Amino acid sequence: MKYRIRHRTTYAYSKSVELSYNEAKFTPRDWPEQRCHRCTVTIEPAPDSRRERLDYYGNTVCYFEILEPHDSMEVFVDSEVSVDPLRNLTDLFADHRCDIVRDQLLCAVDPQALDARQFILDSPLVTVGPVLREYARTSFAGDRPFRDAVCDLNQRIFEDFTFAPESTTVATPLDEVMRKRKGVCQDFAHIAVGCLRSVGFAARYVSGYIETQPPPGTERLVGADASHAWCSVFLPGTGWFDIDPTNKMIPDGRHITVAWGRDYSDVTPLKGVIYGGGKHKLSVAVDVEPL
Amino acid sequence: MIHTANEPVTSDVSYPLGNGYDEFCTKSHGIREHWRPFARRFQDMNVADLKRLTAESRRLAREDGITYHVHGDTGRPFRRWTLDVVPLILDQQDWCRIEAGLVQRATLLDLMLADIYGPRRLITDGIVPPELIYSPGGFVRQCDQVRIPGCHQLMLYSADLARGSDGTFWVTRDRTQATAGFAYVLENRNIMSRLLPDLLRESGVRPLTNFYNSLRQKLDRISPRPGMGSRIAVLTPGQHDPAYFESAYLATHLGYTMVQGGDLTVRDGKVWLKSIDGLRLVDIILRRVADRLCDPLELRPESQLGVAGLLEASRLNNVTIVNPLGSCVLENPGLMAFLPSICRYFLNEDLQLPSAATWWCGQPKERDYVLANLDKLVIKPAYRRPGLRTVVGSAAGPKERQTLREDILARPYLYVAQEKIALSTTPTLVNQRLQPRHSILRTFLLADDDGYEALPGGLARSASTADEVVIAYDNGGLTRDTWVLGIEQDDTVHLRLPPTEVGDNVAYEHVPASRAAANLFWVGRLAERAETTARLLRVVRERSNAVVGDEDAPANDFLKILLKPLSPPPPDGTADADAGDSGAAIESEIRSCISDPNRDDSLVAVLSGFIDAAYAVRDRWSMDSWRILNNLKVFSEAMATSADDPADTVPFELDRLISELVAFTGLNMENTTRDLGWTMLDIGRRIERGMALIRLIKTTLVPTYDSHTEYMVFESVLAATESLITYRRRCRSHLALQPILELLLLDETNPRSLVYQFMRLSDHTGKLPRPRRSYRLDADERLIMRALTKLRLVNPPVLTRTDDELRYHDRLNTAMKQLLTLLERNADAINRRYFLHVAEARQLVPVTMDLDQ
Repeated sequence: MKYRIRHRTTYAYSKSVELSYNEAKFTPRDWPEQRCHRCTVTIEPAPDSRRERLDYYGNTVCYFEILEPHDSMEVFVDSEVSVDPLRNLTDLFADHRCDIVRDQLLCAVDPQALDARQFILDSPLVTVGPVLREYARTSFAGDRPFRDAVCDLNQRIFEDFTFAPESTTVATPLDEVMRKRKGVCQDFAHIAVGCLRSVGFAARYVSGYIETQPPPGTERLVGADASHAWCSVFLPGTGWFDIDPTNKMIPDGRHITVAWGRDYSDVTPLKGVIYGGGKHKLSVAVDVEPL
Repeated sequence: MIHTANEPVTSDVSYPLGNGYDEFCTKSHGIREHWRPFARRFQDMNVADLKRLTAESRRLAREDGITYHVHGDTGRPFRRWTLDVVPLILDQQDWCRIEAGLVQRATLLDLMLADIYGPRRLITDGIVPPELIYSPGGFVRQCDQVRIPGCHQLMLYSADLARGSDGTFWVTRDRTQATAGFAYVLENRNIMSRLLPDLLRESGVRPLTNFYNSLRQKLDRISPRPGMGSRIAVLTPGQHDPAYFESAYLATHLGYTMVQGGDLTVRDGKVWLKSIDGLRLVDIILRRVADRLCDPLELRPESQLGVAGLLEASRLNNVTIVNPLGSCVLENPGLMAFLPSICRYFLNEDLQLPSAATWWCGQPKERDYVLANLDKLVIKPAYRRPGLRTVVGSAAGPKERQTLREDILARPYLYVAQEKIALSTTPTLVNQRLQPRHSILRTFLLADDDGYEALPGGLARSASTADEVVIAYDNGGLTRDTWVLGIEQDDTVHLRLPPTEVGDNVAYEHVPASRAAANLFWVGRLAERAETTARLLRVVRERSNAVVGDEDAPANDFLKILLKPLSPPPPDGTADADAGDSGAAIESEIRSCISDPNRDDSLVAVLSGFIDAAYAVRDRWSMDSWRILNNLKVFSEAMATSADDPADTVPFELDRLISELVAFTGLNMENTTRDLGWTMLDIGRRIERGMALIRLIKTTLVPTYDSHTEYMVFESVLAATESLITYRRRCRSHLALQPILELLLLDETNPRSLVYQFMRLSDHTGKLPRPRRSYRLDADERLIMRALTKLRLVNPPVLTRTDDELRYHDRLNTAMKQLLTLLERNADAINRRYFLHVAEARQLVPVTMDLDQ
């Protein structure tokens, strides 16, 4: 599938901002299952200094400085991406038992597995506690096939948690989400990541977009989409596989990957340090258009 | 054995040797060979000599202002540095072994640092488990693939050494961020070379000067613009940092600029110093701020100690940060367990200096061993994180041990266990006798073109009691100088530090940072305010003592008038607060003006503000100025604590206070180059002196009095402004308003006159940097010009006219009011133009997250 993605982020400040330093991570990744044909990032006001690089995880980062006083800032990203359907999880995981997958991960010496092991450890926004571990254990009995366990976890998060926009912010701790059983895709992705780690697997957080279908008989609304987040789990000898607990699905070609990392803090789309500015108003518009 | 005054102190008998290794003595052979010159010297000293030596060392340390918690919060006094006059002496043979081992270890850690932030072969080749490197608090992902120029990444390295019972040295801790303690080593040596210069020379103690000179040269060489006269900044967390003394000391002695995060700004990927003359490029940052606090954009978002964009500037190699950001990864004690194999992997050699036996719990076998032996081991966090601390297994109770066991099982990779090393003992002076005390040695290394150079010596620290084995800065331990014997050819014989402010990097002009300039301005203002206040109070107190009898109310009237400039103006519509008429009431009011902590303008409050401002520019002061500042600090604290005790006379030692303040001013006038920093200080002083004089005239000379009171007031005003003698010389005994006003307002030769202050201000204003966009004058220039002209045009005979109805000098009053307004506006214009006015850094998206990951 081929998509055009338009993503506009606007900050309006109540007082003028004197200086602003930012990092934007909006450029879709290029990897075997996904190709980014073009991507332009337009920043208003035009930055005094700007540079692109790849971060530790290989995500594209745009660093920019705005050194003149400004009352608003807008970042507009326009990109075109092709995504292939992912390999079928069912086949690949078929004969792996949970305990064997875990042992393989700890004994593996190939670079990919050694690299994946850092994703078992705690990260800034995902600290594994007893509640999370208890929740995860239900799905991961030792002799259960890994595929079944992962799909079970994916389904349980979908069923046990209510999707409730406005119920959480990026600063809501995981424990609170576990207690309230409410959240948004970010929280569900973090829960999935934390559960997998709590039982000894390597899991990372993925940010991007998903193609949404308009209700039958209605026009697709431009700008009504949002950024999305899901989770990826590592299978030694094979690689990373995505699960989307928000939608109880295995991504199949309609998820567009922008960045991955240990958790949201590694892939924050736009972060910055400002001097001045008073209060600010944020507005975001995302449009994922199938081509 | 009891010593008498003439008895020798040191003999083999009187030194109670323990079971472990002792640096000084052996059981069989008595005093070790290399300690003998020292022992002989000590034998010649009697108890009185030793007391004198100890007292002298304390005095020197106090006067040099060596502190650890330099400027603690209220209620937590800053800790002074305690130097034991007995050095730790190491012979050439021991030192050669230590030095070779340290150089190898530094080389190894440097290779590890380059590998961890580069190809990470240690992980891919299976030498080190990934969890050890990626453990939260260590590896900084944002620093991946960032390199500083030159052949080394680890520029400065510091290791804590302990000597075991068999005499071999062990490394107990590696320090790779900011190598704290270096300045204390220099200062300890500085004091010792003043106490025992001949003994240092006769023993052939290796000097520290070479190492310190190398640091300057090496840093210049790794500048992003080599050979261009690099600007080097020492980045400190600020004056509340425990090691603030050290940052300031290095800045002063190496001639660098001491900065805080707010003094720097990133523009176009380069780092700039915000100076009073605009932005100045910074090439090298010697940081004393922890890795993760250095950049709120990419690292810990809540940090106000760093600079947004600093990491990007370093990534672009536009600035060199020493040690590079991310070097905290090497401070994980768990790495020590892997060092022997890493050494073989990188260098194909055996590790020369062993580390304390270490088990990293991230491996199942090691973890199980640690859990089974908790009571015998010391458990440390892999990285310093909030909530995690070092636990000595044997000292922990069953409950604490159980909690620890659970924590280790939940996150084994966060914990490291080490064997307790039996520390050697070294002689310490306790009640004028030598007593063995456990001690450790911190050593320092610096990257050289072809390897590493070790400082010949180090910071030896000892427990203060005989049974104490854990030595920390904050539990009252002692420090001592370390003497490495066997002077070498390339060691120079200069045993003292070169004087301050000689620098190789004088290629750029010394423009003060805006924040430093603001502090200097306030140092000037508050020093002057303290002096003016003290002089006035001294006059009032002298006159008050001269008045016979408490009930002599009319005689006390003029005292109340004199205290007026120091009293807060009464609220509108009420009469002047009545201080009471009795002598006791005057005395109590003076005491309140001196030491009432609730009054903003009390002398102790002004002194405390003055000392705060001076601490904030700690690197500007010479040792002599510093000594005075310390005396003032001690004195003002004594004044503050005596506030409640009416019998205490400390507050009234105003002569002493004035002498110290005058000495400080004198040093500033005579021993400071007239750079912009000095100009700022003097501007502050002149503005303050001018304002104080105007206020004094307004409150004392504007009203009219009966002839007796008038005489007393005139005389006191002249005394308080240091002009009485001049006046007497000129006008003999007759005191009249007009000549007084001429002397205090218009006499250009009187350094206390108002016109003198305005002329100086006018001169200084002309020297301040200002980008000229047009021929128009700036606000501060216009204001001082108006004030000076207005003052010169006043006509004293007119000023002395009284308004017949109101019975006061209304012309004088109006003139003083106008001049005060102009002066206040001038101070405000300078403040707005030259000092820092930046909003606090804020995050666009507020994020709270687990610290340190």
